[in-house]
Amino acid sequence: MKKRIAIIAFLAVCASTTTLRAQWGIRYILPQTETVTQAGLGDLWLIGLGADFDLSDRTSCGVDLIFDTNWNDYGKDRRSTTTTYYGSSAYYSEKLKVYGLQYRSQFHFSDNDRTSVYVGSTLGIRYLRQTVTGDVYTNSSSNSGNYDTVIASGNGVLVPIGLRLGLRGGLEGGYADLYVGVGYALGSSGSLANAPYIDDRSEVSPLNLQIGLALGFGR
Amino acid sequence: MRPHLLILLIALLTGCATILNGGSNGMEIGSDPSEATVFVNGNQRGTTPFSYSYDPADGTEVMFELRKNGYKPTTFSMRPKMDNGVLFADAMLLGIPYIADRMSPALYEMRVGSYRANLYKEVDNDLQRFLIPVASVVLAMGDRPDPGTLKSAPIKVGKDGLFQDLSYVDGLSNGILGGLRDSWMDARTVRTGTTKGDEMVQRAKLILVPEVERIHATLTGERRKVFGPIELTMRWKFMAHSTSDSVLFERRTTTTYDVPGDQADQALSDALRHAARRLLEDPELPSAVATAYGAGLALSKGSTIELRTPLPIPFDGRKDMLAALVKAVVTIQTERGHGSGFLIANDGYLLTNHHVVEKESMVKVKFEQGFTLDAQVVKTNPDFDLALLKVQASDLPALSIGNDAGLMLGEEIFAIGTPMETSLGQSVSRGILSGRRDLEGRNYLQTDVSINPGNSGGPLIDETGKVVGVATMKISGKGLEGLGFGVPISVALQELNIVLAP
Repeated sequence: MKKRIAIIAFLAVCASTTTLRAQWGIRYILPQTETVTQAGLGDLWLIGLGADFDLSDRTSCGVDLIFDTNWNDYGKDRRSTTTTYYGSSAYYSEKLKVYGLQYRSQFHFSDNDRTSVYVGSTLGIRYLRQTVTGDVYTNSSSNSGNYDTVIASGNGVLVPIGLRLGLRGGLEGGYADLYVGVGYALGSSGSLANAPYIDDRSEVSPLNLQIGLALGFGR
Repeated sequence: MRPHLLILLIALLTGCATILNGGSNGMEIGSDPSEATVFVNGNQRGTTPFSYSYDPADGTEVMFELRKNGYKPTTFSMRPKMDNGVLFADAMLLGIPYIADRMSPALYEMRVGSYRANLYKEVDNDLQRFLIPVASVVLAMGDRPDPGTLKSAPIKVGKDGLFQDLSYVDGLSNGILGGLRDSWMDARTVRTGTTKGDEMVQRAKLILVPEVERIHATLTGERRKVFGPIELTMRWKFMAHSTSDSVLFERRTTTTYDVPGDQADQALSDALRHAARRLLEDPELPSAVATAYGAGLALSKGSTIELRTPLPIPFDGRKDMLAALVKAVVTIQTERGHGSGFLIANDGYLLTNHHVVEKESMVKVKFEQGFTLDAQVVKTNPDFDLALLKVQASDLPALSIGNDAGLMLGEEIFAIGTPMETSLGQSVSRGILSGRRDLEGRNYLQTDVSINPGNSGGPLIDETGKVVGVATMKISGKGLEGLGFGVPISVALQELNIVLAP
């Protein structure tokens, strides 16, 4: 255990000396859409704060902290298309809270002190909390033909690993970064909340797609 | 160890440059001429041709210095670039191997596989210096010039092309001037068509007109940092005047300049500087220039200089005449000593003796008022021991030209000059016209006025305060006194082909 800590500490020191020498910038992620669930791109919007470091003329790295923009308490209204719950359909609203941290490393196809196209790899972690409020039609012997409100929630953790392609300006002064990403999310799968009636769209997606725009300033 | 940790470790290790790249970080350093001692970051490492491998493991710039006896040391620096393939692999592995790679020399590669430095001979400071205006560069590359390629793409000529200088030929002269700097050739740029430029060309004994006949560049890199050879074929015309029929002699040089990573728009200028430097190394050039300079001198006598008649210096009478006139008399300082001179035009033209300025092209002129100005030697006439100088100033007091032919024997003559020491500047002595002499076919005014070393070039002034001669020499010896001679002012103006306009 001590050996592992020593190795991690050594790498951390090396990394910090590398990035301390680098040109850096602070970015605002405004916004990023990501396929955390199978609802597809455009369903979940994230914003956040990040940092960029140019390690050399052609390489850069960065770290981003992101969170969702699902501010209200109700979330998105959906209608289940399945009939698996007692043979009936269900209406439900889903609220998905997402917090994420992402590390990225990029190779620029031209000098990164000016606008350049880059390709890179990303490694992240997403903490998810899904709350489903369902109006479920129950058809039991005791209470036939009624809609009941059922609230279910659950948490999950995803570790998306992916590739990113983007166009970024030089860090000095103001800069922008327009990017797309594709990756695979390790970790949780299926529905996080214990709500067997929910639609596929509310289930966690192993395919992680990202499109985003970030604006930043640096020196 | 768990299998996934092992896989991760292998992936990270294979990402390291030390494993992926066996070390293509070398560079062959050559020099022209070869066998120069190579210093890398101040440490002696070998002689050219020399194989260098980038050894600092931090991507820092490396300073090279090449030294060879008889040649000026040359320095250049090179910052290695990082291997893009390795950087790509590092980025794909989340940048983790980069932490180790950036400390490995194998990540870095020199920007060129070989580099040839140019060594230039030490300048011989004992050679006679010549003031030679350098006219704008003439492009004689034909209607469709083909200056070469950058990364195999043709180099465009024009305002937005790679060699932007070709659109601004005046800028090209600066490169040539850089090559001629600190040499026996005291080169100055002139822009013909301007008042100052035309005046300088008119006064020049010899003009250098550089002509670019061919440029052939094979460059690599980006616009901001290019590498590769630029071959230049130049024709250097040494002319008496700016007219094409006055070529006294010419030289043709073909040089190759290895661009060490300059900005693209700087590269051509540096290649021209290199070509000019190589021109100077022609061992026969100094004597050819000296001969042509003499020829140019003779030719320059043929060109008339028209000066405006100066405004008379005001004075009330004999009493304050000389006190007023000394303001137009100067001390001329050269490296060898000093002499005297006097202004004949309000815009800074001075007369003195040729032996005062000898082979100098620029001298210092100290005025009675205490200030000192640089003066250019405009014309000399060694036969009559005369020289015309020019200081860049206006509204200076100047002596009025008198009638030496009307001067009577026994008439009073004053000499003003700086005898012996510069502290004795503007000393006045008095004598009479002792006679008119013809010495070796030249007319002289003989006078008993005191002419001492340092007085040479000073004015001989008549009773009315006008200049009638240029104090030139005296005959001295045991028992001899009062035998001074001056060139009549009319002869001086005629032999220097000076016309005074009203």
